[in-house]
Amino acid sequence: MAKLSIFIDSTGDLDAELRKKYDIQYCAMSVSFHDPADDKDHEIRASLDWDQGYDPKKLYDVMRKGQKIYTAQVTRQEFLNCFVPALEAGNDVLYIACSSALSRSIDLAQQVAKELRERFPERKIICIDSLISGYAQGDMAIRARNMSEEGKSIDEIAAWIEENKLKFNQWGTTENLTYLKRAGRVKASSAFFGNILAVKPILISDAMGNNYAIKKVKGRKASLMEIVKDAIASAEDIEHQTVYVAHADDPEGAAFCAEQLKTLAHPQEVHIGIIGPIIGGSTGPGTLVIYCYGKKVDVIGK
Amino acid sequence: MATTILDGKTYERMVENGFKDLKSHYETVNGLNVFPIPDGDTGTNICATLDGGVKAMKKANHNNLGDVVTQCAAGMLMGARGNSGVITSQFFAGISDALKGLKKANVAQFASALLNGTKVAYKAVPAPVEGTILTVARESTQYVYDHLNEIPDFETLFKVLLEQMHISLDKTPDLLPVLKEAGVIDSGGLGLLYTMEGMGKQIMGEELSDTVFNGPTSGVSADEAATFNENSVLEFGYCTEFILQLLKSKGDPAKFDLQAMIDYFSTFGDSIVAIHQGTIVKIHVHAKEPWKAIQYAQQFGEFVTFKMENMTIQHNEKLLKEMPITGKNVKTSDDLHRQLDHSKVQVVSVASSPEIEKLFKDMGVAGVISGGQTMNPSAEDFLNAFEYVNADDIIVFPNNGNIIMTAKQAASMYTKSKVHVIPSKSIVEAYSALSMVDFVDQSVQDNIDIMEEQIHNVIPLEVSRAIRDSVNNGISIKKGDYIGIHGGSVVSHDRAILKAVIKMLKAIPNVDEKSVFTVFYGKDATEKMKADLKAYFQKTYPMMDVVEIVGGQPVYPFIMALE
Repeated sequence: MAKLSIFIDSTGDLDAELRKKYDIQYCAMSVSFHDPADDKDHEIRASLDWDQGYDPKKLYDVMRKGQKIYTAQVTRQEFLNCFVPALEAGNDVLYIACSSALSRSIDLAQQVAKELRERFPERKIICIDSLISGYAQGDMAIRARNMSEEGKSIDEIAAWIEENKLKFNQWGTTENLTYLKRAGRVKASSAFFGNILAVKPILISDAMGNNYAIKKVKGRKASLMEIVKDAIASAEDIEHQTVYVAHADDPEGAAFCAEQLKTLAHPQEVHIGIIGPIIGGSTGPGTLVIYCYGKKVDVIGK
Repeated sequence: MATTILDGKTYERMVENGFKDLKSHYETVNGLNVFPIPDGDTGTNICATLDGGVKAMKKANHNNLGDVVTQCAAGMLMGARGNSGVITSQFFAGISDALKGLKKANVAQFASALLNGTKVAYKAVPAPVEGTILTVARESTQYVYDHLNEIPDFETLFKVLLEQMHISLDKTPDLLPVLKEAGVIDSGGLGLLYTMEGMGKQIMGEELSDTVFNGPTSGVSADEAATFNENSVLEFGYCTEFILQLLKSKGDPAKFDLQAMIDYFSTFGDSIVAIHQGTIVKIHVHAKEPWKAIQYAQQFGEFVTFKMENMTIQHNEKLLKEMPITGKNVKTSDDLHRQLDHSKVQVVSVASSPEIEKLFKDMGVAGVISGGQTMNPSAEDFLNAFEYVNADDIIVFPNNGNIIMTAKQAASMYTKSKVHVIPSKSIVEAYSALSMVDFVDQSVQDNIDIMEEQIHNVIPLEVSRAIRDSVNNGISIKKGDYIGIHGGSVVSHDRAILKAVIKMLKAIPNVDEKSVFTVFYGKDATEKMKADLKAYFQKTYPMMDVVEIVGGQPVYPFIMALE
């Protein structure tokens, strides 16, 4: 059986250590913005290693100064750069893509895959719409690697992901609604959303892969407790899984959530990581998300 | 000559005379503050209520007592402001109910009507408190009714009634400890007494001369002058008001831009009321540097009238002159006749400053009624707002304990919409409730449930400043102390505002479990006060969100909420 190359993209958020441990690569998206600090426009690779001249603090400071971060999907060339060497080395390719509701990278990947199948008829190339992003997308890749190590074929692994992808739960909240509004991610139809600093949305990834504000909570602390409790309630066999806490430049908030998770339940592990520039670029600094595996998401946002 | 029959014309004159009597004493009534902050407006509110009745009676058929009392009561309902005003309007509504259908009334019928007035007034109050206007009404009207065999005519009736009202009023401090501590009698009861006294004097042939409803006309008394001397600082600025005749010689009056004037005045003043009709502009503004308003206005015309008062002396002077007291509580003449397109649900809220009005408008409140601390809106103000917002369901935030009854009264009078009064006692409660609603995805009832739950979770806290030495809740407070108010009671006081806040927080259980601290900064909050308060919360409660809002409200430097 051929070896398996597993790819995510810039919304998959896995840090270098996890990517190395589980042999996972990623296809980079890009971000562009105007930085008031040097008064220049920048377009940089959405690197999960923050090695493009912008660490998380510097990038989020750009947002704090009122600038919008524009995101761009994975390019055709980037897919070729990622997939071709793997195929040439005789590997099959599994790409677990960012939710199609958030990025159209999956569509382009399917086109590229179709072309590459003609070039590499012996190889298997499967692209999966994860219908989610962040560490949930990354966790799918990790589980894929584990299955591959157990000897499962690419088809079996892909079938398992398709079957179970809605069981990856996202419980997120943001510091305030300003960034989501700026990015057009909050329904503008509700005039009552304006100017309310203490109101924190609880954001899930719904069954269609959209980020959906399922409810609102008053106050930062209350919102963090809410996502902790929601995550615990939706997790299955939490004692035997890694729960991921991802943050956009708020290590204290992440530590608080991790502590509460450990106090209220006993996850096998709580992994704290950083939200990459694509998701963070929409939700803004102060975003905190907990990802866990458990109940199947059946909510469809209006 | 003894009067044994009451006709419509006499009743009208009696109520007019009662109004005149109260008008000449309304400041005495206002002055009976039981709370050491300058919000005593009972006299003003009852005056406004009576004025509504007096005006309405002019349309009545004076040969028919029933018609006169009905018109009178309807007018008072519209004019009613404040708790005492609403109670007074209900008292007269009770009289009206008993006398309607009668062309004339005898002494027994009138005595029975007075008693019915008391009954209806009590019904208007969900939790009647004794030692108030209600007690005075009840004891005196009951006494008259029980002693009818000794009362042959209306002269005797009023003599007995007034004697009993005096007795009852003098006892109010024994029934209501808060009055005793402050060393006063009940202000609402006194307001009703002056009203009935004037009505009685009419019967006895003493028609009172009318007073201009403009506050003291004899200038500043020695007492008042003593409150502003060489050591004083200007705390409240000048209440400045004028009528400006726009002049062609100074530009085209048709092109006069009222909004530009309001915008400019807002940069240095507040409590702005501006009305533009034809070539006349009427302005009311509170400003520490009133020359700016004068200079600006004179670019466009000359003054027809001009009046300016030092509010640090006259802090209790109410804004009666610039607005006819049954007039519409609106900002510009443009707003008078507009109506929104019909919609399913809209919110109406009272706001006590232009800043808060803007905040509520930004939050989606369609009908903002200005008023609150210094001027309670009338039932008519609410009805106008209901008409303006034009929705199937209307949700109302009174935002002051003294306005809830007026709002409920207006709600019960309005039939075109389902009106839901959320009994909010503070702007922070409305702010908190409105922050969680979702009219797009949720039903009106769900939203009302959410709002009521929010208000239930909010702990409102206020800081004001004592305007005189007093004893409240057994605590001795010095003039100038900052006082912390929670649940309607003074719970802390200190010379330093931050310490008053900190002491107040000690009285609240589990503060560190709260998630959000919201503060509306009043117009008297200095930059240092704001910075100190914020720093204290961030240091003491690092996980708490601190939400700062420029409220610009009068009287309270801080209106706060924990939730």
